[in-house]
Amino acid sequence: MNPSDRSPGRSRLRSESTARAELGPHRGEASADPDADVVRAILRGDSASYGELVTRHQPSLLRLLVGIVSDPHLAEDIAQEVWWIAYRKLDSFGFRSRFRTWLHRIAVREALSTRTRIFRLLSAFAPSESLGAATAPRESGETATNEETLRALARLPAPERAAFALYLEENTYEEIAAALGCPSGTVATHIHRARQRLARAFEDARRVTNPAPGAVPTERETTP
Amino acid sequence: MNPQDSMPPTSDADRAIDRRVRRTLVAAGSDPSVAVESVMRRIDGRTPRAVAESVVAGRLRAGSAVAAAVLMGLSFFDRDTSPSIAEPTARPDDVSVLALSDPDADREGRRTRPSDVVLEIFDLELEVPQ
Repeated sequence: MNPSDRSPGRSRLRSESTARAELGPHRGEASADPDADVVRAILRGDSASYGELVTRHQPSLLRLLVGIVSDPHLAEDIAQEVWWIAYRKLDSFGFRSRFRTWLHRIAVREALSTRTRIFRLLSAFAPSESLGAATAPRESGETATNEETLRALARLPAPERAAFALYLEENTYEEIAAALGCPSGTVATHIHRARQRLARAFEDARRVTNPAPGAVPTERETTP
Repeated sequence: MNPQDSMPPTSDADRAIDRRVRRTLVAAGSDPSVAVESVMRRIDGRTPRAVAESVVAGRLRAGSAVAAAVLMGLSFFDRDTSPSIAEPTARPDDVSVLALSDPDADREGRRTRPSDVVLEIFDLELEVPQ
């Protein structure tokens, strides 16, 4: 199935991307994108090549989504949806950015909307509990550290969490700004604040886990 | 442009935080081949519509429909429990199995009748960033 087959009425109009796919690389556009040739092949009807894109980018996509929703299982579900949306919309890709950047933009939008919807659902049952920040049984070693990290990420404001996750996946400030619809300077602020909050969260967790000898726990440390 | 050309230099403390978060996100990863299989299965035409039509035609039991839908990457909020509480899919392409409303049929092993299945048909153009 060709991606352009998925949208009603689209067959009447040959899209810009499809036309470009037939014409080949354009200077300064997809020639810099390592995925451009695969995308062109798919747009020409070779849907089997889509698996190549999934293989290349699924690990990065999943890391990004876990960073935003703080839940590996939910992230996998959203990743599936992102790949499906990207496939259906591939003929609107336009080769104006790297495929990976475009995919990440879809992922951010999908992750934030899904997270918001589920947060509302959870809030209806347990107003004080946030997604990914639920108390979990304490485990030792690396697992505990990972759990703490996910909980700390879950507590970040959404724009900071998304900006930081995109940053860790090596998107430029400009690309992050485009994905979030904000100026580059704001992206820098989001990332800076995300690090500050994470540093405080990690320090709090460390103090609870390894209190200084003779230290009296503060109210914050003893609050469940 | 290099990926992080416009990034300002970071301190050791910043890099330590980045490393810690990155390690956690990497640890949460899974085998991409599973994702490839699911995505390609969906692209090959086994869409939600096909699943829904199979349920209505009595060729699939409700539980099977949920399992198939999950395999195709649809998002049910609670995929591990009764199909009767399956929530709408996150972003269906055109058909969403809104509710598989006859858990008794599933439990008793009989086929779900078309009237047991509530379907809602969407035909939405999704907003995707350009």
